Amino acid sequence: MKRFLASCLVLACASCVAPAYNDSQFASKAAKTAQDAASAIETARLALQLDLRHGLPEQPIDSSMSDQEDALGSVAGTFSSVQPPQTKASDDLRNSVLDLLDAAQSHMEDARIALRRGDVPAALHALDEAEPQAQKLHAIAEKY
Amino acid sequence: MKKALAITLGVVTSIGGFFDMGSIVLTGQTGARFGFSLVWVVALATITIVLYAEMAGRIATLSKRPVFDVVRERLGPGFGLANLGASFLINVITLVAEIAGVAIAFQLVTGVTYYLWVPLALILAFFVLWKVKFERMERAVGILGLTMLVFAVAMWRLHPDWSSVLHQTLLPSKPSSETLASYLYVGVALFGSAITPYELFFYSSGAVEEGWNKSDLLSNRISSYAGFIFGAVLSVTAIGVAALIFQPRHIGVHDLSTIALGPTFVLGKLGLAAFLIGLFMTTFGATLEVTLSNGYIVSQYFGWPWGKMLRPKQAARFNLVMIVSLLIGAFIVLTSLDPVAVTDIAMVFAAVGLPLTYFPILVVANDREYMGESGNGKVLNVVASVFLVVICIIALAAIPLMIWTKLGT
Repeated sequence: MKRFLASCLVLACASCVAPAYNDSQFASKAAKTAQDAASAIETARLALQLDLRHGLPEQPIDSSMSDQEDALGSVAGTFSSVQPPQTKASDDLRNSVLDLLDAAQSHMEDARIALRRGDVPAALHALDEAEPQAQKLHAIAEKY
Repeated sequence: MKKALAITLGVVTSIGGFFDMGSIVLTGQTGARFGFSLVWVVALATITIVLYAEMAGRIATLSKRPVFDVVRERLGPGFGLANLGASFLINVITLVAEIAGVAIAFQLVTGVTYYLWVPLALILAFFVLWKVKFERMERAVGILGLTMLVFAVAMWRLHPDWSSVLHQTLLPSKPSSETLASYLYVGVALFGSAITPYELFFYSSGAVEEGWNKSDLLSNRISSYAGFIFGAVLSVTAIGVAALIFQPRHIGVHDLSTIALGPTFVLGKLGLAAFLIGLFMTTFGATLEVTLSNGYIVSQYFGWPWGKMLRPKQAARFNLVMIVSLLIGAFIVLTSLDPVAVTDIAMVFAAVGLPLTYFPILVVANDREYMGESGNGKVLNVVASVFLVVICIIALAAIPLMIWTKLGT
């Protein structure tokens, strides 16, 4: 009961980001984060591929890129604020996911900048470079 | 000829009501996560809404009174008030999703954040509700909403492996990466999105407003059957497009801009344009329908004059309820809540409130005092009762599943 009340209090104080009490819980949160992040990268890539193929109007693609960049930032922010359990496994997992998210966010920013400069091939190239991160994130999501 | 036109319009209207923001979001999410394995839910929901919409239309036609009015009289003010409270709340949450859908359609076209389009969406809704004739409003929304057929064209052009599609549809099994609870939760939300209660309130009140009589019973049957089935085809093809394009790429659907990529993938600019027009028309149409629905149910419960065909001065309180509903909905959209998350929650709450709307319809449709010789037959009663049991099970399971799966995540 005390643990439940403590969880509620922490949730209220930490903007609804629940802590992970054990490795399994933390891995589950990491997997969800990885899945959502990989999805954001793949969605943005698909939008740019379609833009390149069909010469689409600027606004819907820009909106799509913004949505995915926001989504990536949001999952990264939420995951980084999760308190991991005090184990090496969780610390390692946290570091590897955060490194991948950092790199992916950086590529996404490059893509957005290139897109707004009207250089769709460069934008797509930036996201192609995020593909290894997307695959590793997907692998983490599958594993856990 | 006139009758044929009326039927066609009824069909078109039903499509508009069936395929709205909830359906657009839920079908995209369902296809991307579960492929074709939840298509059976759309089939289940379609049979349910077809049966009950036909009953609601028949009640309104024969009694010359809308369903909510008859329910209050037949089941008492206490039950009526509980029904009113739940339905009003569900309608408001649904309205939030629909207004957000209209504003996001503008955002996708202009690139300007959707918050700034909320006031325009409100002004447009006010204008149409007060200045445009009922029939014209229904026709415009329904006909332009048909651009959502882009999903059917896109699915056909994707040349899916039909035997695999049929196999997944007829012998559904959840993907191994998903839990059973998540599978059921999304199924519940999908069910709620297809048969939101406002559709029945709008449908039966519209029948009274348009002055349907006994000779319209056949039109009512054809409209409800063909229209909702056609709407279901749209839902299934939207699931199919997401399943064929997003699922293999591990893309989750968390926003409308992602859903727009489906038709664009197949049909390029044309697909994108058709989707954006369809998105605007279906969400705007649903905004009007939900707003009217709130005006209808509150006025009908309290016995106030109501009707879109009355001048605002003649039905001041009916119009006031609509204004308040629109303003509450717009205010909630502007609080920056995630519109897609709101839509998901709205559809789950819609599922929770379903028995409150559907049970009284079945009761009244059997009441010879109102229905005379046109009450339900035995076979219809058995089938409708079975579906009512399904509705009750879904309603009871919705909230526990929402908590257990943490909103399906």
